[in-house]
Amino acid sequence: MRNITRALTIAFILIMFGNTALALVPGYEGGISNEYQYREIIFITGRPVEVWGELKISESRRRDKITTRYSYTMENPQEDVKVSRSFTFSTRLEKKEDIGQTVATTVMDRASETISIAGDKYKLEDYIFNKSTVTHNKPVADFYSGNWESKKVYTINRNEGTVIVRSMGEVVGYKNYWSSTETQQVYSTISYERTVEDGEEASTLSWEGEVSCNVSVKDSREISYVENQPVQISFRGSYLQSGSRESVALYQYDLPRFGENGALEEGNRNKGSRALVLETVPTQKRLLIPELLDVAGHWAEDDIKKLYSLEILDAGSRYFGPGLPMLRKDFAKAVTRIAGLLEEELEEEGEEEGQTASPVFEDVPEDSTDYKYIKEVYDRGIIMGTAPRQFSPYGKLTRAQAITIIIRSLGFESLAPTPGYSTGFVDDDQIPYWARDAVYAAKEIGLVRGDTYGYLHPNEVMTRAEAAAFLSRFMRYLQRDIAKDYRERILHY
Amino acid sequence: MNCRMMKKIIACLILILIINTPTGVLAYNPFTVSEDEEGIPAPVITGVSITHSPDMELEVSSTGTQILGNIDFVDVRNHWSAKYVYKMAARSVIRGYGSKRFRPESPITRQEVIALLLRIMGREEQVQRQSETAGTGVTGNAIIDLWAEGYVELAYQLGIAGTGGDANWKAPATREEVAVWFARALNLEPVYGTRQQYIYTFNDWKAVSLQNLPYIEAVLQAGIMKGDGNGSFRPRSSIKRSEVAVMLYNVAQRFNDNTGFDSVKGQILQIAKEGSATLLGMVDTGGNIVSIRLPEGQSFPVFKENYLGNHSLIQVGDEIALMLDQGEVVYAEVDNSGSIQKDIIQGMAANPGWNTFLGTIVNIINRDEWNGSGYITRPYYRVVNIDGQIYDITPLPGGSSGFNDIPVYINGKLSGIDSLKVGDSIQYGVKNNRVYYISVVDSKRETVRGYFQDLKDGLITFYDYEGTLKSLPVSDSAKVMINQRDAALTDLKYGQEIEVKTTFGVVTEITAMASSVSPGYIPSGSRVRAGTISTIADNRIVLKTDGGEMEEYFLSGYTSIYKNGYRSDFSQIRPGDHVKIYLDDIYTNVASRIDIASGSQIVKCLARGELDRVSTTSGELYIRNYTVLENGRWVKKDYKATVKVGDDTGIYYKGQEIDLIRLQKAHKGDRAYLAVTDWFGGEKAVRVVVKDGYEAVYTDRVKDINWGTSEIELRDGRNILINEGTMIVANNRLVDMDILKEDFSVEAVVENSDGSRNALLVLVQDVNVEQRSIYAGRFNEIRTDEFDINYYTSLEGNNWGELEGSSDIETFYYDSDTVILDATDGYNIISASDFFNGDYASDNKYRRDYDYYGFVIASGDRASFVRLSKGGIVKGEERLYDDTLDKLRITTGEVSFIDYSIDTIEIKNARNWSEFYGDWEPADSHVYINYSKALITRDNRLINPEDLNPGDSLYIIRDDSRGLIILVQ
Repeated sequence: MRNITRALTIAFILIMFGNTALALVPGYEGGISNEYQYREIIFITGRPVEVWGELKISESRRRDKITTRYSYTMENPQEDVKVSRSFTFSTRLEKKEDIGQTVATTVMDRASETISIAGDKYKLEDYIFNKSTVTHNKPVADFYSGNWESKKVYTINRNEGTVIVRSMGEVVGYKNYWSSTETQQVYSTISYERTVEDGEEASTLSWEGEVSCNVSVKDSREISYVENQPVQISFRGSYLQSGSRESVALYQYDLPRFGENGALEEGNRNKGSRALVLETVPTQKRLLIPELLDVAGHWAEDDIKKLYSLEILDAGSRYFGPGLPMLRKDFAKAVTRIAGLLEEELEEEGEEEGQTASPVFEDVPEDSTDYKYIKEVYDRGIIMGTAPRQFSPYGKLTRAQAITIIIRSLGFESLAPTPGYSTGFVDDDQIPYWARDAVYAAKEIGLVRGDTYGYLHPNEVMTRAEAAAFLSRFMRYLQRDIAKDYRERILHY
Repeated sequence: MNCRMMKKIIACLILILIINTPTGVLAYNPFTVSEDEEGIPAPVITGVSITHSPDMELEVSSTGTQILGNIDFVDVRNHWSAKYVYKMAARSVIRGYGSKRFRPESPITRQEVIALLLRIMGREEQVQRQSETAGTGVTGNAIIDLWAEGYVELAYQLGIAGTGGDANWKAPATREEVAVWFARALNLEPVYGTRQQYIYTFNDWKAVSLQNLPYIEAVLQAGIMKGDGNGSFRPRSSIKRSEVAVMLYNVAQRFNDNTGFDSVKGQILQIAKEGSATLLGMVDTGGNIVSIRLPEGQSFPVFKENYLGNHSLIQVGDEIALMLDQGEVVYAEVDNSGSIQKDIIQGMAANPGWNTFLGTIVNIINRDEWNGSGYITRPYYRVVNIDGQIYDITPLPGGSSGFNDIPVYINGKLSGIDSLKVGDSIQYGVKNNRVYYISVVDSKRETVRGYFQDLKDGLITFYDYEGTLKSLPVSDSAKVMINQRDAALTDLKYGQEIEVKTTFGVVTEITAMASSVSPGYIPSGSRVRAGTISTIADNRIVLKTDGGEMEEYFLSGYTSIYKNGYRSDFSQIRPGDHVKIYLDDIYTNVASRIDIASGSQIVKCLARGELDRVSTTSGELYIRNYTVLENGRWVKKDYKATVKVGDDTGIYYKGQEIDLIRLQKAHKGDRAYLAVTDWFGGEKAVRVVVKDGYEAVYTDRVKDINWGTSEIELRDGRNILINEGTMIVANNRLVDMDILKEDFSVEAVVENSDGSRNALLVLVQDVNVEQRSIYAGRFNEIRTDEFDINYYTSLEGNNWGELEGSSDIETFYYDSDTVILDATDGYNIISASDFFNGDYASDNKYRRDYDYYGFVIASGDRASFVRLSKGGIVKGEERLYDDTLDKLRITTGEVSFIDYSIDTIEIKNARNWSEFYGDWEPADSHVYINYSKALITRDNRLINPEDLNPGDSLYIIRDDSRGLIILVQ
């Protein structure tokens, strides 16, 4: 038991923070899990029955082939249900690094499943499963979408009949440093056919059912401020980063209705919906105390201190300089950090060493402390520079530049219409041509809006405080706003 | 394009550029540089400074001044041969006649020619050594000066002078023999036969002795001698001293190796002082930086513009040929013809240390800098190169004027760096990060259009409109734009129409159009707005987006509306609904499609309790004495309950929004009101209002609304204030104040604080009946696609209106989508044709038992639903008399439980409409409705009882416990 729990936890952490497999939703059976439990509703008998227990996920990877094994052990003592399953899927990855896309194709390797419900035994005889996803790797986030089709055939008590479950699934998700959400929508039809011997007479029990199951799993890291109670303490408060996983499953079913005696009530249906929610206990990490002397009472104080605590923005000293212009190099650095690019870099550092490419920008020498950040943003196509081979690290960041950098990091320029359009801002004609697509996209996703009179002021230099507020807004977008599009706006409609 | 390619191209260009350099102003800058150029630091290239490690340092011969004195022949000063004579004299080949005279016009004697030849060959020392031992070449018969014997002797030995030692060596030399001697001295290969060309061009070639012809031909081919200008060679004529000086000058370099003489050619870049010494800086034809050090008092002869003088004649920019003796400068000749410069450019192109750039001056920035003793204003010339590099060029401090000037050529004329202007196109040479010269050139900007063919090896090939195939070199960082977006060279497609801009002949900008698509196009419906309906009226929606903005959208006849994945209609959209609005283009505010959320907006209960604890990290509120509003009464549910809050939960205190941290810190134990929605089976608060002050509950009707002060006046005269935080709930949705109307029946929970009544919660009792009409009447006439009813009435609000008579007819359209329920005998859905063909029309015989009565639910004049039964609305009982209507009850409430075995729905929070009071009367307990013959609709669709879920909000027209019409809200 303890070992299993640990295995689950390990697998869980792997999925949450590793990048081996993108899947957040545990398996394809419509269940959800947290640190210690897996829950699911099964419909094979024609009645919704909730079962729970353990799910162990193990993954092994050899080059472009991933083998994933799911082992379920579940029960529901009240209903006298026991479920045990073991599925092994193999996934082949086709990576196209040059265009930042990965196509994964998953098939069933081995499967066994036994469900015993009140004396009846359903045994999986055949399981066909075909799935494919495509992943778009963007600097700040990976976006993916996939489909699958499957067919399960069970025998009832060896020879009393069969149950065929035909499913179609759709999965869509994204992954960024601050949150990841995956939503799986599965539509299944169940065909049940069984010979019931009642004394000498044998009759056939046959019904069809439909179940749609939407599962959504969201990982997120949230930042909140914790104020100290005592006054006689060297700091008033500091920020807390907490990470948690929220899983929901929403079932809608249209099943036959059974009478008191268990006989099928012809013409009547059992329609309804069920929901399951499981949350993990949030992880906790206190952040560094924001010791800044010149932001108290500033309108952007909270944003500045938050980003400073997260080490996304540097001050270099205890003075932040909120009213000073934001330099391009500092913004580039902040973007790499907010995107969590550095963390990934730590893993990849081994590979990168030994490469002595010439500096990408002539005005950013390789021995400069900013070099690795600027190289990172350049390599990932977030920042192009002010002119060929010029980064202008000490250039002042304009609003148009900031917007362009943020939108490119998401890969959302692709949302923009065919060129030759107006972004709708009063000073649309002032927007540099290279920022137009980004401005359009940023407006669409709600990252920017005009001032009271509808002006964007694209060429105005951003102050450090404004940049902090913008980055903080971007972070909130990565944490929350984007998640809504993948969960609420799918499941609630 | 690779670098080497680029370099080659530039090298080729320079040749052209330097030769014709008309001033051109590059008004256009092909590269984007930030407007704030001053703010962006660029790599600085300083100007040349001779004191800074040259490639080669040269000393001046200590006897330089004496040489100048020795060679300054007075009779040569204005003679055409000065250039040749002085140089040969400085080389100690030519010596004058004592009194500083050379006698350039005198014929030269044979012995003198031999002596000069041997001297230039570096054989003088050998001559002197040899004369000590007796020679054999010169016989006693020879007529020769004593001094010349040794020369002639050696000349014989070397085979220059041939045989015949008894000749007259004092006689003037003939042109023929001089030519032969030179040929032999230079070891020129005699040219025989058909390869002889030059000699035959002379009209007197026959005068040349046959055996000398091959030698003379060789001399002519080597360019050592020429004819007389009249087409004659005059082999027998004497030759002048000056003419021999020219021949010597022409051959001198061939003997450098033997003599310790050397020559360096270059161009003077700078003249500087280092202490008392003078430094001359130049770049040589090999592209090396050479400095010449002149200690004070020393000099050397310089011949410039037909004038012999000392080094002070030299100026920056002079093309100069230095003659070195044992590595020391002994003589210099200035020749500003451009030929040396040409060699320098070739030398620089071949020298890997040099970079030659083409660029445009975009800015001149003056900076005050401390030079150790004071501030000097130093200019920085910002240059954007054609490949996009940016440099700041600045002269190095030093020199008498404060800076070591950088030579700048404009129109081939030399000037200083201060003559550069913004917009000048320049070519400049850089070595070791120093600029040695700048040349203002013509940018030659051109625009060509055509059809792209290929891009290979740094060359773009395209057909122009005339059909000519053109090929141009492309800059590595040429700016490519396709459809007004940045693109790469590799994005260009064969056949694509392009516009190519060149600078200096190199393509720096390519503009292309991809296939013509309409500007601003997005795929239909790809622009989506998600939010909450704030108000809805006619065809106008005000949406509060998830981002908190208020936006206005319109519906058209083509707008399709969906709910739960099924088609729905406009009447189904209610204030407070969560919707997704799809828009077909980027400018429109007319929705093409609206999706209504299936249930996330439904407030499933209103609750109150005391705040116990707040978890800021997991977003949960723990409420003590959790009490919910049920059937019009507050019913305590749990001692403690947990309610989730999300980032979209509005938490208010005194009308101000507060955050969870504030809530946790300041409001523990306070009473809070919550609007609770379903969150995947759990409870989530969408609004939390913390109470301050004393609480009071008023149930009354709205008498007046003051929109300016957000105040509503109740009938009893009390005013209550609505604020940002006030929870206004109508149709089980959280709505904005805008939906309130006069006469609405409300239940308000207010707090009395600071002398005013602030509303915490306003529950709007009037269910906003859908924008559809419900009629009750007799089915009179049924035609193929329309039918009439008479003796009808319709619901106005929740009241039945006046009953119309037999002659008042209301006509409705119907179609195969119209749902028609015949409830006469059980529950039968009939088709439109059954409706038409059946016996449903009235026979007008006042036999009411045979007539059909019932309800029509219509959208406009189209019947969506019809429920009818024979003999009256309520089967087997009264017909549609006034008092029958009185028996019908209108009830609202929520599904609590469905007992399928007895076809009954248990309704909680039920309220019955009282026509007498004109108000909703809460039912004291659960209400039970039998649904077996009820027409049940949701989202404008007929549904089965199985489709009902606990919590569904219903609007019911019933007869006692029999449900007739059940509308799921």
